[in-house]
Amino acid sequence: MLIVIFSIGSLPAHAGDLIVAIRDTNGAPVRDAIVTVKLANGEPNTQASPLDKLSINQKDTTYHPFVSLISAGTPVQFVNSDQWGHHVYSFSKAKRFDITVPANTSSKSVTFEKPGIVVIGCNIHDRMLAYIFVNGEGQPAKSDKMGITRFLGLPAGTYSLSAWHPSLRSKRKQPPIDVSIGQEGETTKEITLKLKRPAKKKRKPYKY
Amino acid sequence: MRPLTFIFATLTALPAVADEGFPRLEIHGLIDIRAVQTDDQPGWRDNGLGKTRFGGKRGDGDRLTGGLGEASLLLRPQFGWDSGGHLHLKFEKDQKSTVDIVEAFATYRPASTSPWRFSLKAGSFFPPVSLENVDIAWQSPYTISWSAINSWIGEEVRSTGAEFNGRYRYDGGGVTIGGALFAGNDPAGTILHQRGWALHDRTTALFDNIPLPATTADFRNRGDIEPFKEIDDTPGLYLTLRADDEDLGGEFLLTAYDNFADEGATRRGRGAWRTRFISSGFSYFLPFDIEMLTQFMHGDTERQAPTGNILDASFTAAYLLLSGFVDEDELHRLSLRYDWFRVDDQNIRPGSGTPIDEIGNAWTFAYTYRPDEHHRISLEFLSVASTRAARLTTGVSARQRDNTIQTSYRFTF
Repeated sequence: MLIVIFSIGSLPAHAGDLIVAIRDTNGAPVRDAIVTVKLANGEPNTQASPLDKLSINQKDTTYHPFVSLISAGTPVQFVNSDQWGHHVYSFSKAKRFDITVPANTSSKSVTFEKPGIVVIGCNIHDRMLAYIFVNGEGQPAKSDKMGITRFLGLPAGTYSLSAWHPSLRSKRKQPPIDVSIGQEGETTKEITLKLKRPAKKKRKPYKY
Repeated sequence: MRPLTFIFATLTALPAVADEGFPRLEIHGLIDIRAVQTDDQPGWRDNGLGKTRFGGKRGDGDRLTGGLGEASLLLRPQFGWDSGGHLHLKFEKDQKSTVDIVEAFATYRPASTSPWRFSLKAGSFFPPVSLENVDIAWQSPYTISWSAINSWIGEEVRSTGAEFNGRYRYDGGGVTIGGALFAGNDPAGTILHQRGWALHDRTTALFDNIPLPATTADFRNRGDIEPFKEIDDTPGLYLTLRADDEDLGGEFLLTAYDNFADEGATRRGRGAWRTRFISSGFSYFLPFDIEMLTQFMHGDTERQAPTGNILDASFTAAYLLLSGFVDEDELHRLSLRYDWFRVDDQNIRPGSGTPIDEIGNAWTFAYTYRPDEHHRISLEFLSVASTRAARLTTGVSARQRDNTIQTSYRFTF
């Protein structure tokens, strides 16, 4: 189990919490969405500090976790728990690499310097897919099973809020939403994402 | 799917390779048991002009039959990071040899960190035409019997050669252009001329044959076709274009095939037929998660008999299939398909031989229950209405309707 913790820094005296609920067009909670908050006036945010490192596991020919959130400069290790090899690669603009991971071994670290979205595949097993969201500016958080992201202790001010998900129907960026955080208390916001058909329905039962 | 896994490499024999875990072999298999209620139209497997796999005996009325629908074993070795293989063996009592090969090929696909990826395939394989046969062992997840188009592909079209593909990828889709040079498919098209279209689920194994329909009332055997013979020693060619996009929720496939056979060539009594076709397929998700598949094919086959007789026919077929799950868990699937097909005699010297014109259509309705990856229970109603003048020579009217009800239990691993 991987726990991603972004240190918020010392909490300022006037700060509020922001709770963002992500739903699909049917109203169902959406997990694995990345919500980013940025100060609307363009001033630099409380920067999230990079994780020491991240490991992505390969088990039962599936990447775990499906979506990871890191800051630029974080090294990522690929851990193969399967009894067979995986050939991890990406041709995404933010990071192009390929690395072979024999059964029951861990790869060397791969560092993701550039912000952006990196789609990870396996050259042997086409259906394996993982996403790494490499954060640039702003403060990101990943939605949980209930589709909830929490930003605790945001300094009062106006923020612009944006959301991303691997199954977003349009490749265009969702227009950001402005939200005001008060001196104290909790602000809640709901974002509806138009998603592609769940992967399960697309998947053919067997692919050569 | 959790395959049975065997690791053959040993540390002592191949230390360098064994560290990486190659070679590795995945074994899959499928067994299908069938019960069929059919009418009395003799099926094409019994030298009849019926359109379904399981036919009856004329005058006997409806009958209940069944047995083994399919028994297949798939060996999928991985030789290294970039190369693998695929061997599909089929076991069948009625085959010329009980165990025979359906597909056998090796693949080479190095990883690419650019949007373009190139791959190579060599051996014997189906040209990419079918959008239906995407399940294990070239089966369809939608119905038991395949469309007329893909029944023919399974029965008489196989390429032995090398296929090259270049795919331009982006997140959620891509475009693939490809093609193959092949041998060993010179008799392709014979069955469409001699028997016409059929709807079934029987692939012809590489060394097997297909019976020719009788043209007499006593159903005397007229011989058979060995579809995967090389007769004129000239290679054939096919080109493909495939595009798929998750945002659009669709896939498009275009195939142009020509076996470039010398239509006058004969070897060991087997004749070559110059056969070419264009095929297009499109799949798309409609509202309410209903999957739509449609394919169209048009082609021509020609043979110059040693007597100088020219046999020439054009063939056309299309289908539309709608399929969807009834339940949230996607265990219960309903599919409905409409097929339309025809064969037109293009003989420049008519009046010789058996008439071969044909026109027909078919409705297929199937329900499948797949409680998990290993088990599938299906029920299918198939009704084919067709008019083929050649039936007159067997003492029945040209227009016939074939009806079958099939149930199948399938175990896959």
